[in-house]
Amino acid sequence: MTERALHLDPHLENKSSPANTQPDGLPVEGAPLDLQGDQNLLSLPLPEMASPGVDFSWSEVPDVLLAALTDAAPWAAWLVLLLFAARYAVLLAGSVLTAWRYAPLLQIHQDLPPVSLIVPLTGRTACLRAWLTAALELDYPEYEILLVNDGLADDELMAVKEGYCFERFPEAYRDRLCTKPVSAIHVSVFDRRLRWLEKGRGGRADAVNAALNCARFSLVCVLDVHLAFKVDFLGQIAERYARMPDAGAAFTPLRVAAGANAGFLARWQAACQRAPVWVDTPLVGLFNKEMLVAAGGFRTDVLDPESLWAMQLPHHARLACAPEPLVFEPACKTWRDLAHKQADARQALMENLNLGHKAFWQGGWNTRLAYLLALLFEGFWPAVELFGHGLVLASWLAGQLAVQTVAVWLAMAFGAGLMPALGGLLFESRLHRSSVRVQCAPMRFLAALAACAVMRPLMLFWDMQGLLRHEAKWGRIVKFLAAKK
Amino acid sequence: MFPTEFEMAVLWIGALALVSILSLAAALAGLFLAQAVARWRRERVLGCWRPLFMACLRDEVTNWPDLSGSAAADVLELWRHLHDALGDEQKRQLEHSALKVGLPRFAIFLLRSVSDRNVCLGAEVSGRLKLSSAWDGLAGLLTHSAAEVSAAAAIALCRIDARRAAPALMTMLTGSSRWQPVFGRAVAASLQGVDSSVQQCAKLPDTVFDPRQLEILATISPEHACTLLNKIFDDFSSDDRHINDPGRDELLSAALRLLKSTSLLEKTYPFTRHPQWFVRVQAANAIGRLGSQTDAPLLMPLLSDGAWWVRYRSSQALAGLLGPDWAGMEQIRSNQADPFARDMLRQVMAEIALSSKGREP
Repeated sequence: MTERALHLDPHLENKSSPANTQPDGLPVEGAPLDLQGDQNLLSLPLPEMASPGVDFSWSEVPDVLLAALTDAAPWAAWLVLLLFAARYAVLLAGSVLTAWRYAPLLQIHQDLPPVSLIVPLTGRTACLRAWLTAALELDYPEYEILLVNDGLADDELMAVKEGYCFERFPEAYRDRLCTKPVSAIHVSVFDRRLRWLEKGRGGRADAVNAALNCARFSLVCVLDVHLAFKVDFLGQIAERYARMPDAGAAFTPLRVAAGANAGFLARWQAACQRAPVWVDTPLVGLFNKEMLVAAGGFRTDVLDPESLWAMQLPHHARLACAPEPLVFEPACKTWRDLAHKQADARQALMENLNLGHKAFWQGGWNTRLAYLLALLFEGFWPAVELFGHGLVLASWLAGQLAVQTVAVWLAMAFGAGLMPALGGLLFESRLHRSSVRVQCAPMRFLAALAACAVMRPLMLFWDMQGLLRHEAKWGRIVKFLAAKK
Repeated sequence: MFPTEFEMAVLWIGALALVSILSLAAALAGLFLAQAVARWRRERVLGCWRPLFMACLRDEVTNWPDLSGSAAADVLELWRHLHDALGDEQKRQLEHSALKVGLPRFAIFLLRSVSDRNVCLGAEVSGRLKLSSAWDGLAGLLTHSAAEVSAAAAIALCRIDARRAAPALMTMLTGSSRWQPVFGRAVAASLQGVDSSVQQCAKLPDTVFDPRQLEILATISPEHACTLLNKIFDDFSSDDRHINDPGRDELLSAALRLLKSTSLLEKTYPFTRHPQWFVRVQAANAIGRLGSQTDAPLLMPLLSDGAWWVRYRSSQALAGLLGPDWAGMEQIRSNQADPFARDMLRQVMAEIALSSKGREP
């Protein structure tokens, strides 16, 4: 309604006009409403009629966007805060429950199933001789070792081959899994548990698949040459496997080994080891060969096919866990190596979550919940965390948040970073098989504390790098250190 | 501006996070401290008791110290370790000294411990010392939620009085799947040859057996198992209904695997033509294990079987039957029309040749 529609009578000042009203005081039907004698209204300028042209201006867009963002920021901050709190609770509960759930095995039985130990030789083999000496001394009743040379022509390899008296063997090779061609199979005269496969270059998973074709036993374990292990590691994993009636696989988490003379980086990696509840913990597994072969073997186009298989186990098969620190990988010695490893781990996790989603959705409610938690709190977490920090810092800079709130926020993020390391320590101390000496525990705790403060931004950056990668590059990095030449 | 509630929520969550981190750190420090104290105490106890136990194997020890409750678990573990490692004569001396020290009281006390490890230790020591006073405590542990504890109690009961323990244990072994195979086998081995368990085996119905029960039965009473195997082979030979029934085929496979009597060997011959490859594998194994050279023709068709394992096991069985007749093996190989059969025979011959070699690197 515009002012032209009003019928003003200056004599009535602020009262309604008696004209156009009925005797009972109600306005006459259809008569214009009179607002009489209001000087304030009279002084108002007449509004302009809307022009028939375009009423959108690009210059207003930033202001509108900024206003929308300002309105949405509190809501986004609430959401991120809730996610942070939920993740924190999950981390805490995971640490405590894992520590209390697993008890050390009371005894290991001697009638454990025989195991084929598969050793893909895809890269660095300098320590092969020492590794073999240790592997032949394992405390396990029956096992064979299948060394698969994935097309390497290495002096060290040839020396080891001669040293262990490998002779060509006329094996009736059955190619149940399609791999690069196997050119020869050798058996050691020195110890007939040792077999050596020569095959064309196809990558780590291809080498493992070739070994699956000629593994004699129904359980297989894939172990890289750069890994160190306890003498009873196979017994510990196999015992867990044997005790679970429907087990399809059993795994043990890989721990980082840092010696007495290790530098800051190695100590930091050792300090930040997690309890084995987390899905991104690298693992060494014991797998049911027939199930694996029926599924087509390990995928050759992903970074971590073992973890993927652990996710994709058939429904009827369960996953057993030997949580003790049994197998160790060397710590990265340079920042560059660490960056690669971290990004690879994130990429492998995302690949596995992406490829393994069908298996997860076909599982029970606990499997689905685990998948969702893994996706949100592990897979995409670097992006959520980065967004949350950015939002809080921007709000603080815009003067919308008090400095105390920002400080508490950052402390909370710091605590969340510390929690997995604390969980790992708690877990090991509960198992009474700690790889940490009592005297070293405070140092390890302090190292974790310092590392969370200093390294967290870097880790976040590397995690984002891994998250944004699109394709697996197994040819370049295969299990990172194993393939490093 | 952010609402005040948001800032309050951040402060509260931050405070809770801090408290939880501090609690976790405190728990961790407590655990590490407890570990350190336990280790120090254990070393002290072992340093005192190990020389005494070693000395009691040579001479009479008269000055045994008083055993306190806090050191009992460590001393019992040491005693068990020594008892496990020594010969029969020395074991008796060790048992004698255990009675002098008063270990039985502590072993029975440990049966009520909250720690599964300690309960197992108490059960094992009670069994080794044949403590009849621990019977009720051990019998109560048979239904313990941890299978390890339950199995340790079962084995201890067998050690104390196998005849008395047999009825209850046989019911548990054959009636339920409470124990995983590893524990079931260990308990069954403890009952091996015990009269009452053998009698119990004889009373078992022979219609509802599964491979696990069959294995247990074969461990406890091979004679009765033989009768049962005979019945299983007869059933399968006469009745075609079982064909392609995976559960029944697994039973047949287990029966062939457990066969140790040559008198039943003939009944296994038809199973070399069974549709399931794992049954044919076990049939070839049984013939190789129990047969003679006259059974060799039965294995010939299996050499060109479609399943790798059937070819492999039948080749091994053939090599076992022919013994050192290398020329005979070579002739069989050259007579094979199927290249897979020839390859497999060559592999098995190479394996045998390899086993005769062996030298240091």
